Order: sequence, then C-alpha cells, then structure tokens
Amino acid sequence: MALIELTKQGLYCAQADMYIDPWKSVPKALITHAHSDHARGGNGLYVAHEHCIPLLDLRLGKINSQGVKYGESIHYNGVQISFHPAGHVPGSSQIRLAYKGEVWVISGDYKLEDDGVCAPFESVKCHSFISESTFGLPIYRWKDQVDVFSEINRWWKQNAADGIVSVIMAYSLGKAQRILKHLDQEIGSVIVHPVMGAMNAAVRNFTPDLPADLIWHKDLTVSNYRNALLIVPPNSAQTMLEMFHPCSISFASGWMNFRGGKYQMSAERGFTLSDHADWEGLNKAIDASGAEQVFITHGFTKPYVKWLREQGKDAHELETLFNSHMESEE
Amino acid sequence: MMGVKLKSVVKKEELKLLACNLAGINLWMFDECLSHGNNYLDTVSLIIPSPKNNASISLSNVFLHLESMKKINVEDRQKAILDYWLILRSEERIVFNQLLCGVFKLKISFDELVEAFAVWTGIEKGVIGIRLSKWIPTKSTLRELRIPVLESEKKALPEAFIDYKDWSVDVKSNYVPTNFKARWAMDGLEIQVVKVNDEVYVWGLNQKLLFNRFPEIEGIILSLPDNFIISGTMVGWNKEGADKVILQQRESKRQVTTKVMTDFPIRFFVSEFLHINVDASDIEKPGKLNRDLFFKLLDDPSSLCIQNDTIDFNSWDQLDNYQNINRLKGSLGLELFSPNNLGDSLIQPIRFLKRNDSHTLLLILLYVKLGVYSSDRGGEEYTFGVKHNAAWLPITRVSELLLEEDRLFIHEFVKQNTIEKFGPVRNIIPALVFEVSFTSIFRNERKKAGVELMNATVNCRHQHLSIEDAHQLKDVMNLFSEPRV
Repeated sequence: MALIELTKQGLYCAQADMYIDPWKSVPKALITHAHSDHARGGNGLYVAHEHCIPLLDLRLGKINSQGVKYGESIHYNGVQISFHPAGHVPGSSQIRLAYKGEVWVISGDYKLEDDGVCAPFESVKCHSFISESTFGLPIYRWKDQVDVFSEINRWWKQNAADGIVSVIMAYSLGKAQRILKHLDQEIGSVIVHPVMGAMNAAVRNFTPDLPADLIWHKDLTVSNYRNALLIVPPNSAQTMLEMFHPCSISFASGWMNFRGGKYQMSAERGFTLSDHADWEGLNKAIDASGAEQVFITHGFTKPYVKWLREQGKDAHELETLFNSHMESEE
Repeated sequence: MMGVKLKSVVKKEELKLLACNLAGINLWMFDECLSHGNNYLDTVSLIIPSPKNNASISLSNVFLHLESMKKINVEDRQKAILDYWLILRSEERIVFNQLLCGVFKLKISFDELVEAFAVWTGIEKGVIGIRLSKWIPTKSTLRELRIPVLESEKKALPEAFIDYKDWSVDVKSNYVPTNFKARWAMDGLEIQVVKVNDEVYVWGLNQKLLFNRFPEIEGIILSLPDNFIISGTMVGWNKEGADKVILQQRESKRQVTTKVMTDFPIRFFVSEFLHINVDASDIEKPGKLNRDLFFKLLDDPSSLCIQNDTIDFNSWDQLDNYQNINRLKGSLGLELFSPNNLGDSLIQPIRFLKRNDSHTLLLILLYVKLGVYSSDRGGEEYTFGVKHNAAWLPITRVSELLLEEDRLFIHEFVKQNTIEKFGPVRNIIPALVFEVSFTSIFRNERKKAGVELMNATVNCRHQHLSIEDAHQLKDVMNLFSEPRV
C-alpha cells in the first residue's frame, strides 16, 4: 500500500494516521498553508509551519495546533514528517513524509520566484511528488516580478498625477503582502481593507520589514485618499466604485495573462502576478524533485498529465477538492 | 490606427507550427491552450518562451521588414519571424503576429483619433479630420499633420450648425407667422456636405468628419462642380419612408461595405444649398434658386437626395393644422426658420423646432442600468416593455426620469426585486407602471418585440395601476394602423 492515499476526507497517510490539507473534519491534519481551500475548520489538531499557525488562528479562530520549523523533523508512528518552503504565501510549506526509505512530498501550492515576503521555494528530493497544476498550460509564463511591479508603480504614479484613486484587487493572504512589499511608497499612502490589515499585522510578526499600511475605516478623510493606492479583496470592486470617483480599478492575478481577464473581473487594468508556479516553474519543480512518480492535482490536470507522460514521466491525475479555477481565494 | 490593415505575410497555421516547435509542445497542447485562451494569435504569442533579452524595435522598422518578408523564401521568412519572437515580449508578439497575419487593428475610432490629434497639435478638429482622411500610412508623416492650416482646408470646413430653439406658446405671441417658412425636421443625422478641390466632405455637428460613412451620397455629389455646401438630414430608409432604426443600425457598422449600403439604405433630405465665399450677387438669390440648380445638375436616378421643400402658411393655426394632418413619417416635427436669413451670415439666424405631438403608452419597467459603473457614472438607463403572452418584451429605453423621487424609489425597488444581474444592469420583477411618451414607432426585427419606440420620455409613474392595466404588445402593434404614427 502506498504511503499516501486519497480518501473521502482528503490525502491520507495511514501509517501516521494523519491527513494532508483535508476537506472534511479529521482528528489530525498536516496543513500546507492557510488559504481556505487547504485549511478548513473542524480538525482536532493542525500541524503546520510555525508562521502558518497565527494565520490559521486568524482565519479559523483558536485551534489546537503544533508549529514546526522548516527542515525540522517530527515523527508520528514511525513516519518522519518535515516542512519545507513552498514560496507560495507566508507560512506555506511542502510537506515531506518518509517511512522505511519511501519518500513522498506534497507540494501544496507553490511558486519558484522569490517574492521577497515568504521563504523561497526549496526543491525536495522524493520518490513520489504530489504537485498542483493551477497554471499547467504553456500559455502561462510569468514575467519577472520586477517588471510587473514597475508597471504597477507607473500606473499608480500616473493615477496620482491625474487625481485618480488607484485600487488593486488582490487576495488577502499572499498577494496583498507581496504587493505592499514592492510598492513605491514615495508615491502616496497605501490603504488596505480591514481583512488585509489584520493579515498584514499577523505576517509582520515574523516579517518585520513588511511596510506599514493604513487600514481603511469610515473616518478616513479626502486627504487620506489623495495619491493613495487601495488594496482590496476581489469582491469589493463595486463598493470601491460607489465610494471613490474617479478611481481606476485593477486586478493582480495570474489569470490576467489573457487580454480578456481584466474584463471578466470588471477591471480597467490587469497585472499578471501570481503566487503559483507557471508552466516553466511546474516543469522545473517536478524535474528537480527527481520523483519516480508524479501525481497532479487541481488545475489543468488532464493535459498536464498527458504532457508529463509524453516527457517519459510516470504521471497520474489526482482528483482533489482544492480550488482549481481561481487562485486560492480567501 | 486608421483601421488600414496590411496584407497577410503568413497564414495562422504556419505561425502555429513554428510556435509549437519553438515551445517544444505538440499540436494537441496548442489546441488545449486555445480552448482556454479563445484567441488563436494570442495563444501563438503566449506559448513561446519569454525572451532572454528584450530589445526595443520601432514599429516603422517592423512595417518595412514585413514588406520585404513577402518576397523571401519560406525558410528565410521563418528564420526572420523566429528572430523577432526571441526578442519581443508576449504583448509585443501579439501585435507582431497580428501584423504578420494581416489582422492587426486598433479599436480606436476615426473620431477619437481626430480628437486626440486635435489636442496634440492645437489645430481645429475639422482640419485634422481632413488631413487624416487623406493619410497614407507608408508615405505620410506626423510633421504633415502639424503644418499651419491651409486656405484650401479652410474652404472645406462646414458652416456653423444652428441649434434648434424649443417651440413654445411664447413664440406665437412674439413672432409674425409670415416672417417664417417651415419644413419637416427629419429624425436623422444633421449634416453638411462640402464639395471643394474635387473632394467631398460630409460633416456632422461639432466639425465631426463623417469619413467614408455615406459613400453613395459622396459618389453622387463628386460629379458636381466645386465650391458649394449642402445642408440637410441623413435618414435611414425603408419601403414606407424614413426609418431611424435603419440609420442606427448602419451607424453601428464599423465599415460601410456594399452589403451595408444595400441592407441599410439611406436618403439625404436636402434643405439648403450655399456657394462657398458667396459674393453679393449670390446673396440676392439665396437657397431656393441654388438648390433647384443643384437638383437639376444632380444625376441621381435612384433619388438618394430628396428635396425638403418649404411649406407656406399664413397663420399659426394653419401651421398647427398642417402638422397634424400631414405629419411626415420619420419626422421630429416642423422646423421654422426665417427665409431672410438664408445665406446671410450677418444676421443671426433663428430655427425653431415645433415637435410633433407625442403618443403615450402605459409600460412596465423591466431593466435598470445602475449609473455607478466605470466611466458610465450617472449614465442610468431604464428599459420599458410590454407583455406578450407570458413573456415580457422590452420596447424602449430612456436615460432620465422626470422626478428625482421616482429615481430614488426605483433604486430602492431594485435592491429588493432584482431577478438577475448583467454587469450594471438589473432585471427586475415587472411591477412598476409608467406613462411613456414617444414621437414615433418603428418595426425592428432585431428587437424581441419586433418594434421600437423613438424619442421616448417618461411622463410619470402610476402608483395605483397594476401590470394588468398596462398596454400589451397587441396594443402597440395597433398603432401601426394609425396614419399619424
């Protein structure tokens, strides 16, 4: 029997009696990161990277948890478990499970580019690799983030000069901190949605160089909004339009790679910025794992598995309930 | 930007094969990507690996190279394309690939270009319009766009359009009827056609050059001698007469092709004919005489140009009577003007619009477009309709309500009674009855109801009427049997 199997509750290691990112309540869960499609409520014990724990607390309320450092090994019934940076969002990990010489790695979500906020992705050798494939098509190839942030800062600067409030829609955990980190704060103040404000404060505890922000509340005045840039969750666009006029709304996501992406999100501008690996990133990560067999979950699983098989890999589809068509949303 | 497409250098399929080879993927993977990306050339552009060194290449150099690519053999052409791909970013590659396949176009209208260049050059819009209409992409330069205004260009510009003043009871008491002439004011596009330097320019309001919009009229007028301006109204046309819907449908077409001219025919109602640079003798023989001369010269077997004749009357009552009995299909009402003013720029001309009596129907509010969306802030729209069997069919749209309290009421109603959302548009439960006035009704097969009401305005909301009290589609259709509509 394989070390990891797929059950109704999620990915399961029977030997350790632990589930990985389960989608139903279980006694013990290993959590790759704090996005809602990977970390759900109701589990008896949450084992995650130590930076992930305060974010889980914030999202799920007080939970019974165990924090682990990157590279540190813990043991459950003879299974050696360790967490390794996934580079996806603050506190995100790949989880390595080893038992009697057999090694599995569950990637969770990951990206290879160092975003300057979370610990950069580290490749982990294994026999079996379970990888995401959110952007597993060759049309998804990311630009260098330096270029993307120059674009964002240019757009903000021009809006400020034209007296227009800039609004970026982004996900609350990961994208919001990444944008905040790379904005040119000389242009104006950065105002964030209260949900993001709380998340930023939690992240700042272990990432002290995350720049300061102003949390949006009803008493802010016109002078606060002058030259300002607002970072808000994607479902706030209509509210922003009603509150601020004139304002320019943009959306930062990997789905903006397509010209039509911004129209789907009712945004004037789209910035292609993702916390997931692109086509080249996925291929590099899978090659670097040295895995003999690869399991592909959420995203373009079918074509990506077919592609991997053409490359001589022993690849299989794994049907999970992780969010496949939006970047893991809060 | 002028919408002129270059001829195709390669076929899309050739680019697809080349891109798949470069990306190291099979054709099935391209099709998979295409099914998610929708656009063929975007997909070609996106599957190619990112350039290692991005170089800046001017668009004009690409244009020149494209010309030469047509003449070289397939291998050399493919190598040239690969060389470009390896230095262009993905968004640049999209443009490059579209140029290669002859499908590149910008969604910038001629009018937007004129506006932008007028601001940039500081030269009046009309002159920029004339210059852009003669623009040849491979030969013209931006410098030519900025040269001082030429005398020949001044001659090609339209006269000022005179706004209509609203007709009211006061007019009857303040003016003597015998000082005025009347003619039908058509519900269409007011234009001036200028023939000068062997060129024909069709102008709309605000020096808007209607470039290549009415080639059939331009063709007729091109055969006439130089130096005149004709003013009038362009209308859509069907078997029964003027038809606003046909004109609107034609205006929505990006290019006026032979098919568009056939499917959406037009007529030009000619009102005035003026010589350019009129001398004293021309002022003595104004409008009518010159217009007769125009129609005499006109070789127009299809009668695309129609004389909009003046109507004689001696009293205001006589005029009222004439308007009610002879109401012309597709007209807004009667235009009243002082004939003494024709051709004389020294006297401030006056034009009144005496609108045709409107009709009213009780209609149901079906859709509300909220006005806080993107650039349309404040641009609310209310769509009214009628019941037909079990279905609700929209028949007209208005952008303004008479009362602010109605507007606020509707906004509250929308919050509680929305059935479906389409962007800023809310499909609401049919329950609110409004009295809507309109000047004319047209058959329009593109509308679900098959009809459309023109120039609709909301009179009031009937709070105490239910949807059962409102008019139905059959009532609307009955209006076609009334001669005055």
